[in-house]
Amino acid sequence: MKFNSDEIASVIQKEIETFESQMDVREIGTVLEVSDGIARVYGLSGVMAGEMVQFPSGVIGLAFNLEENSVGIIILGDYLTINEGDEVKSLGRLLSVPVGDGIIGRVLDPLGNPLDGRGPVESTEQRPVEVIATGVSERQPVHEPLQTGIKAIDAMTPIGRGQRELIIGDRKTGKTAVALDAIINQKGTGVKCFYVAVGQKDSSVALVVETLRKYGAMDYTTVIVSGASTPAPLQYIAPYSGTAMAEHFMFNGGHALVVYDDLSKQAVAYRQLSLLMRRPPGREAYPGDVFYCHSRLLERSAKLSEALGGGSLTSLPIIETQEGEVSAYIPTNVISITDGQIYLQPDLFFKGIRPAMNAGISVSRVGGAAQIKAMKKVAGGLRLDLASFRELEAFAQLGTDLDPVTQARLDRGYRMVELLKQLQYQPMNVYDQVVSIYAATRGHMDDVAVENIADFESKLLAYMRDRKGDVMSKLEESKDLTQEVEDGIKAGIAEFKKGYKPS
Amino acid sequence: MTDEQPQETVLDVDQQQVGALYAKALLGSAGNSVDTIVSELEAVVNECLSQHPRLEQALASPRISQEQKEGMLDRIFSGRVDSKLLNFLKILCRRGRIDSLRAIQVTATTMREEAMGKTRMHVKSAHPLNDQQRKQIADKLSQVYNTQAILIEEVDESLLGGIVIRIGDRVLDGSILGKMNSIRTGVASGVQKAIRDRFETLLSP
Repeated sequence: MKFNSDEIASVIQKEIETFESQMDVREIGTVLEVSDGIARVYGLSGVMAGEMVQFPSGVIGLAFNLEENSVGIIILGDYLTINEGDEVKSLGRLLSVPVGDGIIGRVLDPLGNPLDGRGPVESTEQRPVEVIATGVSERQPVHEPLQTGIKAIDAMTPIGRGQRELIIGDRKTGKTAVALDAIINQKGTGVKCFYVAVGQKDSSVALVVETLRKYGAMDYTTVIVSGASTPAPLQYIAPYSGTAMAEHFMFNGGHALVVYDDLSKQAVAYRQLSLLMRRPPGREAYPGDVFYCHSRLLERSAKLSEALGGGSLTSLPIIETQEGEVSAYIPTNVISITDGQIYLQPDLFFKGIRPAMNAGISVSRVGGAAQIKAMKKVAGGLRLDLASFRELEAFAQLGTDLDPVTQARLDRGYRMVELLKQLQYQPMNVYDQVVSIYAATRGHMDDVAVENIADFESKLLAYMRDRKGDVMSKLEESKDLTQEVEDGIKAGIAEFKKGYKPS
Repeated sequence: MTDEQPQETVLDVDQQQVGALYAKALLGSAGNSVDTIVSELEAVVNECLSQHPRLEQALASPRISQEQKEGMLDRIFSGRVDSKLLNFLKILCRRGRIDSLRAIQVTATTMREEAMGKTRMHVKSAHPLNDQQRKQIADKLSQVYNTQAILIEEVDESLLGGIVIRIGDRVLDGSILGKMNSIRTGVASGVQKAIRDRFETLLSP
């Protein structure tokens, strides 16, 4: 491959001919000091908070602290190229990122620069990273479901389009796995997905990208990476730029899902910045506005009114707790901001109950409004039943003799728990979920041995799809458990059980 | 100690703030003799302290008592400068602020100029300006900014041509160097776009 030098020369000539010369008017300041990711600048007297500035090396910064005699700048890039005495130029713009279809399927840094080696981002549109969230009159209540494909979540803590559902748990409890399954399950639904990786090992991010690609999810997903080795300002800004990219689809009537993995690391990056800027530390040394840092981010998730196109932005923030401590500062903040949380517990995880969701303290405040009618009917009360089963189970371990009613409840509970186990990267269609949860909650699985539940379920679903296609299509059509559909499912289960042999 | 190089005032934000406070107070107390005081202060800094760094060291030293310092100031400046300025220098010694004297002097001068409707403007050019150019630039700037322009000239050959004017934090860049830089980025992005848009047509056959 070789370029034709005449052609290139003509392109350059044309560019020079069309070049319009204007007097360059700029406002400048002088770098007083540089430290980890921040700089103090003298001058820039007209700069506004959040405005972009540029250093001589081309690195971009943001005016963060406006003080009496100096301006605190956060540096979005390599701060080692900046020296004392450098001239800083204010650009008079807010930080913006490229948005639109050109970024789908790409791996980007928080400024929208490509990291995947697939050439420049082809996007003509830009969107400011920090915007004020939509107000009350521009929204409508959340009512459409966003299926995660995970039985336990879709049945017990349903997520609606426009909702913010926190995924919280200790390290290694499968938080990212839940979010990835939710992304994989958006295939074919038109929901654009954004995975924002903050402060993670680059190897973990590479694995996530590889997984998404393997399951065909990169066709509608954008990954925004600011790894553990990137400077704190970029880690701090990453969730906002991911949200800006997702908002573009929301405001054009589309649907988007954004996963922030994870916000505790973003809070740590923000704490580092704030302390370097000499903002006073508060609880756990976080600055006073760390709540605002998260609330203004998550408030941008919305279900827009029909007048604005009815688009939605759903977010799944992730918070990592230390030793199950949910009453630490950042977890309580984010719990109070979001519309519910999925709490993942290590002891359940190691018992083999995966996803390791604790049904008792996981909630979705939008609840049934975000479920299809059929699911609402079969799964209503499931969460409370499961929570009371946990209590009963603990009690039954004392070895007391149990009356038959209690024993039956226990048996049903064991089967429910077994049914809600689900392998990773195998999200399930919501209609299949309805059938299997119907079978379990209505007692059709009570005579199946606990260890055969998974086998029974998969064979039942295959049977229903192959032999009872009409019932399934009616269910898909009405999305409701009408008498007709219910009878069909019941009959299907009875027929299947006659020929069922555990393998 | 003696071979310590006298340094240009490095940007020190704290000293600037102190300087602004004391300068304001000095100008406020000066009354009618404000112009004399400002020019005498400039002379004190540039002709005495800068010429005799050991005097400044002595005035700033904590090992010399206040009485000795005041006596020293009296002997040197009494009768030569305005009595208000002399008192001001004594107060600076007493408060341990003699190290901010340069900042005070610079701020006092600019504040006085501002009060008289003058603004300092730094003009950087590739070649030394001649009188006619100087007058043209000063007239134009005075007209645009509605103030009397005081030009501070600097020659920087790397500009290649044209001038760069700095007024406070604002820079008006009309130099060849600045134009060439913007042409470079413009052409580079234009060529990149052309390569993206019509890659095949640019390849040699």
